[in-house]
Amino acid sequence: MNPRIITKDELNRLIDQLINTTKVYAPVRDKTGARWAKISSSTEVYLEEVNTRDPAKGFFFPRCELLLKFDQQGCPVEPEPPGATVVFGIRPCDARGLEFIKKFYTGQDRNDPYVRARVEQTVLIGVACSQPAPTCFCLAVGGSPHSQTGLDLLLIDLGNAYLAQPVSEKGEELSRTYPEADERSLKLASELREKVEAEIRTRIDTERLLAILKDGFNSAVWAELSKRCVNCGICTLLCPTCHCFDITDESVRGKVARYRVWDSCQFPFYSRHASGHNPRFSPSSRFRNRVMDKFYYTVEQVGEISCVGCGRCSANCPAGINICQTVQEIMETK
Amino acid sequence: MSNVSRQNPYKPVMMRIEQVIIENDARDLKTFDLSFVNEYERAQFKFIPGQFAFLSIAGVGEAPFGIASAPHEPLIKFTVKRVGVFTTALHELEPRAVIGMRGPWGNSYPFGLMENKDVVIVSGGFSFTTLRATICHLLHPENRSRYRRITVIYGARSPGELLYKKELQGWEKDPNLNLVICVDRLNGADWPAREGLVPNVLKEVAPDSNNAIALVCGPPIMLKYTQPVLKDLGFKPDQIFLSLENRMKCGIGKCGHCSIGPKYVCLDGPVFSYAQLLDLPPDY
Amino acid sequence: MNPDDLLRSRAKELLNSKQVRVVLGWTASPGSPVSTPLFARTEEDADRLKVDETCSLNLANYLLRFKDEERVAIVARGCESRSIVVLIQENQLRREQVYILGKGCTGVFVQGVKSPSCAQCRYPNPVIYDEMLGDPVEPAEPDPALTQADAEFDRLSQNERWEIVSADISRCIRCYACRQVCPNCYCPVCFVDASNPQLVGKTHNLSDNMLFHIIRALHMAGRCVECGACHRACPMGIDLMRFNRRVCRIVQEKFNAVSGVDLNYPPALTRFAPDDPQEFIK
Repeated sequence: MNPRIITKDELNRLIDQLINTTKVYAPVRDKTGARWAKISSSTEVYLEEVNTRDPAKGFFFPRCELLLKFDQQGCPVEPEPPGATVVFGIRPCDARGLEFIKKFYTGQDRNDPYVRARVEQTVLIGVACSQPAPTCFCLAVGGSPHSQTGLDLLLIDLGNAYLAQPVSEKGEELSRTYPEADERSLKLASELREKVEAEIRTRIDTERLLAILKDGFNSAVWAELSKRCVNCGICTLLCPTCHCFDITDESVRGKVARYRVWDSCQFPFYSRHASGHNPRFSPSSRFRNRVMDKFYYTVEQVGEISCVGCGRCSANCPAGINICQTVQEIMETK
Repeated sequence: MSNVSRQNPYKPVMMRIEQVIIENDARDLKTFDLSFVNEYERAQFKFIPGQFAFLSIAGVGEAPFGIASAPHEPLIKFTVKRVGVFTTALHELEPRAVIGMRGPWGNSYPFGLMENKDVVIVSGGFSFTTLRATICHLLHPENRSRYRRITVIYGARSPGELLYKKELQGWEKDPNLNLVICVDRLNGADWPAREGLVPNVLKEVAPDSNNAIALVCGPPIMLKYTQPVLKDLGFKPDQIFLSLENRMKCGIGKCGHCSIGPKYVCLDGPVFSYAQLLDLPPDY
Repeated sequence: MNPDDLLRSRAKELLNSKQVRVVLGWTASPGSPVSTPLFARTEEDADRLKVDETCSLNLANYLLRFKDEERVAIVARGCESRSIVVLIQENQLRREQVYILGKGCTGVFVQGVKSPSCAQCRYPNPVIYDEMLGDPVEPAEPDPALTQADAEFDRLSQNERWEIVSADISRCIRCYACRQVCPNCYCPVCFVDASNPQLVGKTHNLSDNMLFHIIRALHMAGRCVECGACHRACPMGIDLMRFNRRVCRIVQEKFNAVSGVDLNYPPALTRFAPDDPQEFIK
């Protein structure tokens, strides 16, 4: 699939065309910086922030999803499928997060039809990062500001135009009418990649971390590290790969529906049995569970760590807990 | 480990409550026998004892329960203790009411491994549900010859708390198995004969561990004291199988609630060998 | 003397003389935009203590974790000292359990911008303390722009106010950070987590989000010290203090009470006086 050159004007025209036929989501300006919103014009797109406050996982795994409605007899009725969607301006770390969500929900022998429907009907147009945020560390976990994983099309800002690298058939379809990229542009894109990657200096020896975590369930480090944690759910809810959910029934004026909503292993009643027994009652057990899941459990489950290095947990933790710092302290225990 | 793939694993099938039996004196344990509203859904529902299913009441929610009936039985049986929002709503339902069910989920007891071996079943309280399914299945004329001696030790706090009293009375007379029922306190009753805690009775009965598989299901305290007895009798960790419980929401290894380390009780369990459990973090 | 030096040396003295088991303070968190709490138990820990404009939480929030300790020391700024007063008045702590190292505060700054709650703060200096670290600060005038903004909001019609608040609250992702960082939120089972009966729905339906925030604000009546930790903790930037400021103002107007400024004066909603306003009785 050959890379193309799309000028900034042409790109805006493309986005406006897409808006006419499908739902298009992009980062928009917000008092917190940038967040995802459905746009009605290419002028709303805001790419100045390295990342949106909210993660992109909502495009495959929405914050609140209607699973079933129930009719008068109590019989379940499935909702309409979500419809075609274009997600524009997604960063490579978030795209890797979506790839993980796709793998976890549709990769094994149990298929989640809701996630699958969204995967099939969504086109992901990514934008490479030209500079990292202070909390970014995608390179440390096998990613890159120019990674193509999970995307249909990757755009690299060359200044006056974008280099558009199709990654999938959908991406090829979108970009094939534009001129092919010349050698100079390809070289520039490559230099830009080297430059931004050089700015991310954090490195994590994830293999060694995995070995330490396998043996580290009873380590005293968890009690120490979790002391400052306030046990909110920010780290998990903003994480591109955290995928825990709750199922809840709502009954409003005779209309009954079953919803799936984001849940968090950090909440105190997450693991509480109806009998009252709560295996992860202590804050340190919940803190440990998140770190274990990101860097060990998902390796066993789907073959990869699920941290993509977006840094949202570190940037938004009200108690100033930094995941890289946490991981470093764990590695210093052995 | 039959994991039946469903088109939409979140969508329950409709079931009619045919019969409700109050199992205990405290009246907080009820057994529900369910039939399928749609015949084709009954034909699709294939399960092996040990597996569980979610029962669903629209507008209230769902909860997982071990399947207490054997595959050859006409109705699907669940025994439910009233502990919270969902179980209270379920307990208020009468025969003819329609509820939802989705499943079967999870793995089953290791029937393949159990062939040509002795089977020792140790259970206490209301965890006996999937073991009823297992015993009925083992005793079925088509299956019985594949297994050697069957020993069942089942206990409850008092005679009134024993589940499936009709089946128990039948099995006591059945030469195809050795059933030992015990209660913590007889309270003057004359049935069953034995007074004693399950782990102690297990010690007295002392089943042979040679070429045997033990299936253990009970409250955490019973499991804690039964394990050393089994060890003393010579059972190795890979000969002992336990059925675990954990908080569940999806039943298909997605929502994360029932995780124990990298494993999900709903997907990799609920039946685990003791050897497997020793490898998992004590997060349950 | 650099104020952190004084804090560190006093912390070491308190720990070495065994007057306290732990000193609650702050330390830098490399790679994070805010400082992180530090619970110093050794001299080595104490040497890392600091308190400055990046200390975004209300440190009193952590005090209840130490309520089984005989005595703890805590670095407390104005709002934090008022939270300690409220906790003592509500019988969550005893006065003698806490050794307060008071410090005057010039505000929390988030990425160079003064937090709105700090820009309207009337109590920058601790209202109780066992000793002061450095001199008290001059209280600054509340930012007139913010007072103006509040007044303008109040002049809007009910519908207009509902629109503005709904737009803000609909962004809530129910992370509960606001609740978790608040020293007043120590209920073992929060009303949103109650399941039998379920009081608040778990979806992000506007009604449920509104219910959570409005009821929490009402639970803060007579207790909120307007530290703004909730607002700063919110990842979606929701103006959570809008409700709390209004509730605090109502309590002040109706009952002539300000939370946590006087240990001898219990929270407004825990006491009854015959001359309490009662215009709702017709």
